Amino acid sequence: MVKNMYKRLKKKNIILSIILLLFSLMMAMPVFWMISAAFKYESEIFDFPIKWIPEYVYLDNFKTVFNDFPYVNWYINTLIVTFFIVVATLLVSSLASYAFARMDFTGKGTIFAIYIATLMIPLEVRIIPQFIVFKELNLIDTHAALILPWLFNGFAIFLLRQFFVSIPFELSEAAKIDGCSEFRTFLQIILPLAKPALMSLTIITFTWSWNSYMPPLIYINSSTKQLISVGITTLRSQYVENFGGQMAGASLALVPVIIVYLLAQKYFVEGVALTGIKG
Amino acid sequence: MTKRRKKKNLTAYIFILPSFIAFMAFMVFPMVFSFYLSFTDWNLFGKIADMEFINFDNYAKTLTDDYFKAAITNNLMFTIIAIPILIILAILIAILLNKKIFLRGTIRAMIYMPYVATITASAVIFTVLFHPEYGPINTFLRSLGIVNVPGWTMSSKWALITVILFWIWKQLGYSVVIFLSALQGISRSYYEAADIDGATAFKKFRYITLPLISPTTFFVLITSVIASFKVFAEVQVMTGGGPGTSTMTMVYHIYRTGFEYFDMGYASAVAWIFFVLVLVVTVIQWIGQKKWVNYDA
Repeated sequence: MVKNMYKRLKKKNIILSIILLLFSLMMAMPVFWMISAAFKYESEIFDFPIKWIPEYVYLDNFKTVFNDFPYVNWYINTLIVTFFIVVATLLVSSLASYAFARMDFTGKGTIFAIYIATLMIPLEVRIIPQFIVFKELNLIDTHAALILPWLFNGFAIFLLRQFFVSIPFELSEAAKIDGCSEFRTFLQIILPLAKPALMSLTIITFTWSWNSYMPPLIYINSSTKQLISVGITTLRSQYVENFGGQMAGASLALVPVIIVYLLAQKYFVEGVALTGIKG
Repeated sequence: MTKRRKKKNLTAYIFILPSFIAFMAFMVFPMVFSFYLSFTDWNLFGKIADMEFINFDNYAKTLTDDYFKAAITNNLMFTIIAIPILIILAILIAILLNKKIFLRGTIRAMIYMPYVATITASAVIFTVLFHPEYGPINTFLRSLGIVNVPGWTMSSKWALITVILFWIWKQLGYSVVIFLSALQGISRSYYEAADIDGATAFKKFRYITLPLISPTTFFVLITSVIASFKVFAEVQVMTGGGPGTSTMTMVYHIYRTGFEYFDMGYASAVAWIFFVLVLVVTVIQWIGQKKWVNYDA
């Protein structure tokens, strides 16, 4: 029995585990510190050694944040925009990547290569003309300005194509013999099978849009229409010396993303592997 | 072209059409328009009709613009310092994580967490953690007996380093996960054969692992170099480009010129220089990879 356990322990490297655990705790430390500071009195925040668990749970930091800023609006706006970005990406990109992966047509290679090449074009080069166009169309200070550009997403097309190609082609042929149109094959056979990839893409798009900073900063002017990522910076500039408030605001922005991440971790990792593996 | 072929093409084009319209509207058109703008003196308040063509004046202006020069220098410094640390650290952690260890899932989750954390919120945390006066980092350093603690974001000597630290913290998890999936793809038989030949751990790393993950290393290298060029939110939140110009970056310069000074023509010129720089770096890496990337396995 003891011998067995010893063997098992030896198989896994204890020292290595401890080193890695310490390193990962160091990586997560800022997040833990933020959450703990959010529940502290201003005077307690910088106590050293750090008290990770506050003596009293102090909720006023959160109360002031909700009173001083349209935090609920920021939340709702971010959720709405994220939802539409995910829908736009999934709809348009899955159609295109299906054609690239499973259909044969003139110019396929060229169009795909051009689409992929757009991955190299930084948003920063496009944002000035886009701003001008949205201004002419009166779309400044609307959420449409944040959503529309996502209708083209080279990354999503690439990721989904990789997955669609891996689905056996016999399935499509069988469907065709049964008289299925190309669109029905796509909708009823391939899409359901691609759930893991669609899920990965949803999660990746979600984090991107939740994190995107420059577009809302440039396109959105009214505070009630703003998203969390920019909202948090206005909070910081008003709470210069109110560190508890800053940390409460940051916690409110971070914790939902981290919860989503912990719940859907598998898809994050798979999504990353799906794009990285072919280099 | 046969009738069937034509019909096949048509169906495919219908599938591609929505993305193609968006591609024209949000990629091609902005690129062309921005290129044109870069040769004009247009500012945000002017009418589009009043736009005047001024040849290469905007591009010439960058040569005498101290902010631009500082931005390019800082960007290069940033990339040169951050990328080697990021990649070496990521490979190391991925290799260790690939061994038999306890709590692998938990450890991986914590390392990846910063990558998904909202960038502005985490930048706010870092500014407080690294606050020169009250921040826990400096309190800790003082408790070790260090008197001259760094001024971090408030000192022109340390500000760029602070942003780099933050950036590496945020990027590391992503690179680790990519390397980890590459390592898991290596067949055990290579290592078993090396064991029979009595190869040391270092030799196995040098002659098996490193060549076999080289396509991944190349992928991570390109994507993270480009990401490091784009540093913006980090700088805007943590330092505002300062103190002085010590953390001014290309993208921050584009943003400031275009959306704080409304000089859209000049901002477009800087944006195009930035774009060409990204392209050149990518092409150089493409050419260089043939020497060290191994696609055989």
